[in-house]
Amino acid sequence: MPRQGQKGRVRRRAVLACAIVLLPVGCDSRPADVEVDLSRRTTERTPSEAGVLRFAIGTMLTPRETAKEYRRLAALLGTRTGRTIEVIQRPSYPETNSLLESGGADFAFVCTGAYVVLMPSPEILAVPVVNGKATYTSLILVKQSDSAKDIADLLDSSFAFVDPLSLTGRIFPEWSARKAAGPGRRVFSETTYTHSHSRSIDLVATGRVRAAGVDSLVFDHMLQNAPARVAGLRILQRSQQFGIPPIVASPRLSPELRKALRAALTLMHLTPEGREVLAGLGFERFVAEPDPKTYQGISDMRQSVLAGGNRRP
Amino acid sequence: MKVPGMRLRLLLTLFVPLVIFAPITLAVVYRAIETAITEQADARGLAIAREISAVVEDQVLTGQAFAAERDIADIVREQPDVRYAFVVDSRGQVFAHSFQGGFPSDLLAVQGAPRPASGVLRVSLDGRIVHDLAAPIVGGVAGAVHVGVSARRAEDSSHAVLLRLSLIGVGIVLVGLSVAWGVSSRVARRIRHIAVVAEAIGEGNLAARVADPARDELDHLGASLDQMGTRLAQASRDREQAFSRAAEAQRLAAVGMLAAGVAHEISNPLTGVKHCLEAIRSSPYDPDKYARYHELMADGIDRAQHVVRQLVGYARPRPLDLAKLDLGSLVRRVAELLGPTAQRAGVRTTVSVQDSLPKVLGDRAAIEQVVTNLLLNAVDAMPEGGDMFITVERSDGHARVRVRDTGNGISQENLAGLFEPFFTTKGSSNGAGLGLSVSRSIVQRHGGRIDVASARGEGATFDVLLPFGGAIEAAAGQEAAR
Repeated sequence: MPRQGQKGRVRRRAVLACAIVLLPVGCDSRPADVEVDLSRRTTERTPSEAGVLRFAIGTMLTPRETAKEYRRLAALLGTRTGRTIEVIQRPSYPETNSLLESGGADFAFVCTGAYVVLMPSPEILAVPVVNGKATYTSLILVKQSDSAKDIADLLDSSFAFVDPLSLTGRIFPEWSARKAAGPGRRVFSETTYTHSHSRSIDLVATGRVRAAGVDSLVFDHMLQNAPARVAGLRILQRSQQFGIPPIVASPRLSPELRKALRAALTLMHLTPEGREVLAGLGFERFVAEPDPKTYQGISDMRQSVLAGGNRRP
Repeated sequence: MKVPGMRLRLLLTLFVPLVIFAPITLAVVYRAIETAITEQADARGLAIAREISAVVEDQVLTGQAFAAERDIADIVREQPDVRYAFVVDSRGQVFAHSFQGGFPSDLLAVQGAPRPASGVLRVSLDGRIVHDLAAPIVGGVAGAVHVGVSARRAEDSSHAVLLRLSLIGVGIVLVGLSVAWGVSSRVARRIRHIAVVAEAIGEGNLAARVADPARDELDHLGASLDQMGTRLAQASRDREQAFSRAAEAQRLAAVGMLAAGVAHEISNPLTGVKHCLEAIRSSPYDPDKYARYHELMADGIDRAQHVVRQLVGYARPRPLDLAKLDLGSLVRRVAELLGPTAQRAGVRTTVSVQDSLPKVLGDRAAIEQVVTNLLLNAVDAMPEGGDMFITVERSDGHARVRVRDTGNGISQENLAGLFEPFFTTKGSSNGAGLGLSVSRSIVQRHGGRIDVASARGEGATFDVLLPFGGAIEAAAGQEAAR
């Protein structure tokens, strides 16, 4: 019997040794976390849920920067209105305008140049106030090392536009250059559309283009939050004051929601969280009724540019 | 139970650990490599997901689904082991994907499924395992990119590694077996050789040598054995020389002692004869003196002749005349013959013979001489009288004649030389000192022996042991051969 017991121990030890040897080599036979039947397919996108308000934002910043900066604004507006706010971006101002006109967006933050195209149809819900003013300017930027003294020195140089409808990023700079160049003369040797003021700033900073026209609000915001990106730049020319880009309502948005959104926007600065959101955007507050005069003359300036500088605003 | 041989035990000692630890080591190595391959494949999948995230970020944020799908398809097309890639937006909806013919609705479950620490989800696409890696878009604000990397490629790589490791393992085991076999055989052979040499030395072949130049422990052991053999051979030669010198010295001593004894024993009567002749010469015509000295001279010459006869009998004994003897009767007759002598010395003699004692094979005259010597010695040992007990009996397969006296006994120093020629304690007038030497020689020629036991003041006991039967016949054979 002791011999049998010893054999049993030896056998158990042999099995244990084999298990130790084979255990690490064993195939990974864990069950899958997700089972997918490839025969079940769907081709349709689920539409937005009913009641969701779609907030279109013109890409004055890069889409990434816009998404980051305006996400909290959208969330706060959703809280104040009791609705889910979906942020929508489009690569160009005309597409954003198209969303507004087609009802693809319920309200939108649009560039002044894009707003002027839509006037008088879209109702302004509110405009931001920066440094006590609801106006902004267009800045012609060059590198600090650039020898240009005014925009006439930039003629026949490369230039970055933001968007065909951008007031500060295309309309004013081109209008100003055409005025300096005189009728019939080519103003810039090469132009490129960046669809973002911040991208235009980066192109000048990196020397890809000699100059660019940008939104003063974006430049000041960048100067405050990312000074290194603008450290090597110089403002060659500053435009007159223009009406600041507004938040406008789609013609299809109900009066109640317009009222609710306007209230949420204009009362935002009264709460700490509202002030925090405003500070993130570089705004002091929103006001409901901007000075109409600040938007006057912009449409003529645009028409002058479209006509090749033959018309004067 | 049969104990395995040295070679087998050495082989097992070397090979078994190799057989156990080589697979364990290779298994651990394989596991590490497999993990590294899998992690590398997952890292690559994650890198692809991040690349897609960077490429389609603006498209997702600005709603350009078709452009995103085009870019995703371009990237996936260049990666054969990427089974799919898709983007979910901030609403959790599929924004763009790489699938042809619609998106598999089950796959959306990867969004909500809890992910392990590795961040890898195992997805079964119709039974084929895919590792799902996810990369956020704008930190998750705009959704995420999912990439499915086939586990097959990593498994194929792992299996290729496993195959190579298995071949290496088999190679290691085979090489290990060969080396273990070679080492164990060589060690066992050398140990066996050393053992053979040790046995040869033990059997007396002091010239046997291992003769391996010292390189390792076994060589040192062999060298030590060789040194021991050399020392043993030298010691043996020294001992033989010492024995030879001792034997020569002993022989010379014996010759000297014999010469001295002979000279002494013969010189005394010759001196007496010389004195007698001188006395006769001084009175040549005195018939009385002549007659008296003539008798004394005759006695002296008899004594010298007696000594010479005994010496001749000791040095060149006559052949034994063997016959079957009744030892009891023989002893009784000798005791009777010496009875008057014992009585004159005041010694009482008691003879006791065991009944039906078998006869012994022996030379009657020689045995009578032995018994006579012992009885006379006993009588001489009791000059002032005493008792002499003679017994004949069987003892330990022998016939024993025991002669015990109640004399003064023999001292220890005298016991040592008792049977040497010319050894005597009686003085020169009472014996030549050859009686016990001759008696022992006779008994030994019969195949027997003489023992003596005595202490000072307690008498002495002499035992003559003669063999019965075959032993006697063997002694007879030896005697005949002599």
